[in-house]
Amino acid sequence: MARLIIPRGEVPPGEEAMFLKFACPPRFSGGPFDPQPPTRTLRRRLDAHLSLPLPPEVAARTRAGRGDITMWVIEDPDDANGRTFPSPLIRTVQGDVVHADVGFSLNDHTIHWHGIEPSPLNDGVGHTSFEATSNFVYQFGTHQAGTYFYHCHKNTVLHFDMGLYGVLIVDPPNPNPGSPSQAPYYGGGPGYRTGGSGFAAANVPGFPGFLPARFVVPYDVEAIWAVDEFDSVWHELNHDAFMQACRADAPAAAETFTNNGILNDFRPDIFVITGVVSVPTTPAGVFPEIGAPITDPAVAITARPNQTVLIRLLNAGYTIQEYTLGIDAVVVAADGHPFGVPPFSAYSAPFAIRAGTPFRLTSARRLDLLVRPTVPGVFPFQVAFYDWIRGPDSASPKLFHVAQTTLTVAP
Amino acid sequence: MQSTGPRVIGRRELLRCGAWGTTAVVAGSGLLSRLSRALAPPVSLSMDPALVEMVDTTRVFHWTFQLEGADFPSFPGPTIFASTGDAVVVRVTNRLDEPHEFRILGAGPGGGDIVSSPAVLAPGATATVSFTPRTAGTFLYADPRNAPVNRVLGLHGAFVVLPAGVRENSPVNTPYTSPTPALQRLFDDLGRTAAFPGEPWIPVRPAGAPARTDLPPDVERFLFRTNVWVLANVDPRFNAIAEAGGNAEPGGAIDAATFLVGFLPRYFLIGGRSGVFASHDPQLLIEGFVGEPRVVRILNAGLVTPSLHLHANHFFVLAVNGVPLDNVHDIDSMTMNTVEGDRTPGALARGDDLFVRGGSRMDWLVPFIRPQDIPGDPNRPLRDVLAQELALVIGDVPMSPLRYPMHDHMEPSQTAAGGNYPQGTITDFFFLGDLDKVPFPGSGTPGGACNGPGMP
Repeated sequence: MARLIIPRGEVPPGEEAMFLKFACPPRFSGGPFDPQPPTRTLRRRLDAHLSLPLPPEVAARTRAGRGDITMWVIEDPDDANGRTFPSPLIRTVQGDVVHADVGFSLNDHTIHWHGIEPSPLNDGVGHTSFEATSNFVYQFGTHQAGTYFYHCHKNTVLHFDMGLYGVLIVDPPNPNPGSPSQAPYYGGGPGYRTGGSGFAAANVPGFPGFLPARFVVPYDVEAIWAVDEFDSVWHELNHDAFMQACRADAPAAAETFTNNGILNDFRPDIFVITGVVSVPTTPAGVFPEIGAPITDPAVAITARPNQTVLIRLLNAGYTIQEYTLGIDAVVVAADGHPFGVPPFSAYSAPFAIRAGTPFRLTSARRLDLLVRPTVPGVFPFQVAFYDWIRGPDSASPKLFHVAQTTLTVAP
Repeated sequence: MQSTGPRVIGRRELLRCGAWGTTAVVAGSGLLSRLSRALAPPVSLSMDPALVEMVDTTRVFHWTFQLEGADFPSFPGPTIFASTGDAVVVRVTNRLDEPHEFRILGAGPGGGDIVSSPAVLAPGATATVSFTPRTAGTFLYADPRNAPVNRVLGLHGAFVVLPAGVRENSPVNTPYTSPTPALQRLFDDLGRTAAFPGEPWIPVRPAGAPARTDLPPDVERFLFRTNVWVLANVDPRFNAIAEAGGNAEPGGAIDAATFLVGFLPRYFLIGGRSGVFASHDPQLLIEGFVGEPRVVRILNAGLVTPSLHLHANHFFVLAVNGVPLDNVHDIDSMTMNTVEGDRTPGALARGDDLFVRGGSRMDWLVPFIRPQDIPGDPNRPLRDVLAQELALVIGDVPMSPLRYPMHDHMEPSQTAAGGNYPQGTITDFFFLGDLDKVPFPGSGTPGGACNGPGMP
């Protein structure tokens, strides 16, 4: 039976180097290039391995069948407790010029600063720049206060799942220069978040201290929820698992491609919020698994009535995550950029998500939400992890797990 | 149908640079008559079998659309351009072995589909779609029969409707018939305010600007500052069943419900290509100088939920499923939905919910502003601020011009055959130079380049 063949494309003569670089980025080191005086310097090192213990109920049902899971992280070499999952928080101030001195060992890696927009040499994407095995000083500004993250961009499908990521927060300066609390705001609050006008339009209780002229709103308590899942079988793989082979003379030849990989087939069996594993309360083999409410203070929030709580939400995984809050929330920023703040975000405004209304994010998206409980109580939060092929709108949704935690409000 | 053996399209028969798999055509008589002296005939398509070569050279059977008069079929189907008020006529002939259908999804009054007449095409039959679009936007045409099987097996393409009055010097400056106030403000600000120096969005190539020779001649003017990305996924097991004569008809070898539950794609495509080939396709990649904003029309014809991420610039989400948004956010990563997901009962998203959950068709504005986190004096041109970087050659590849990726951040979509990162849904995003339109050192000029700027 005759068939016309639609070809995949060609490698134009003379462009082999560009095609080779796509699959096999070159190594490079050094920096900073085109240096500007830094206002903040930091150091990171990868990759570092750590073993994340699994609660027995989780260990008993993972496909890898181990009591722990191997994570690869980007550690802070200057912090005795700098080897964590997620990788340690980076916090800068709006307007900073950052020099990130990154040491690489063991294997090729990069760091991409997601949502931060520097030059390609500092953007950490191998096939448009390089991968590193020794050292590189990345230079980037942090021009817009918001919630971002940083992650390795080598064999990203695997490395990102392995844990090579951390949260990056850019804080606006304190509008009161004499205050003892200046950006960056460590310690879970208080602090300031850039936010646009329009709270009245959101029709939720107002947030005290909002300064429209400066577009900042203060918060009292901050929660960082990096919601993620792992495929335990993937965590048994090596750094270059299923990568394409490198042939300079024929960079896209059929024989360079691997054909038996599993990295299209993501089967999460461990579910975490900011590194804390969700423990199922339902029997093995029953889906969705329902996780016990997480009480770890890295995740569960405590606040007093009438405090402003800022929740920085990140989908750090590969599922469609659908969240439901037990309290009204106002969304004030997405992907680091605050709604309604000129010049670039002047075409948007904050909007409300009512208590009990599910909303969803896909991989790498961030939302910043403000809540302001006025009465004591325990307000539930849940995240439902859906398969990205059979999501919540599918005729046959595949829901793996529901993780839970709480906002506890007490005087 | 019987013949003697596979026929590979020879190099001579390809358009220059092999950028032929995403041909495009103008459908509306009115649109073309305003821009050239020739009237466009009705668009005639046929549904034909073909083998589509995946990025790793695996050949996978597909049902495809072929433009009458073309020597070869398209995957995805050719992009059809029209404007509101045009009398659009599309004729479709079924040259496959089972019944098929043809609709333009969501392009009818109230967001309903435009259905062909007759609605069902028996093998060998021809049907006609004849209508006058009233609303500008980005639409998907597809075979909706036995959804999602026929569409996912290859029968889909983009249908782009521009607002009436589109001319070389048109006063129309947005892609929409009824832009919201926020959208209108954004497009009015492009090229006018300090935040968006340079040019406004230009819907059609001006008469004085050089035509690109690496795009199909009749439609290159519509791709001047516009891209069209059709996303697809391939699970070859189902294609093999169709190749053996199977289909999703009653008694056929493919069951739509099983397809939905069992679909596990091995290949992830944008404009019918993946990975390095998608990154070098002039119809897919984004390139321009600072101050040359582009509209990108994105359609998800597959079954996965993408999370598209652009480096270097946040992009503005303009519309979801043809509905311009009141609240126009600038973001770096975006959720889409599937055709089926859009139509889930109860999923009638409105307003901000549309932005959060996404749709199967979404439009971007890529502002092409100077990347905001390159430190240095913003009043100095980038060629001075990045002088060292632009002079570097790493891995025998110059770092000039500035090159970034766009890719799906649901990272399994970055694979082919379960690995080979990043040979999946990805393309390139080039900054060719700064506001003064002087190309970065070592960079070629746009338009004539075969596979990206700077290349002979």
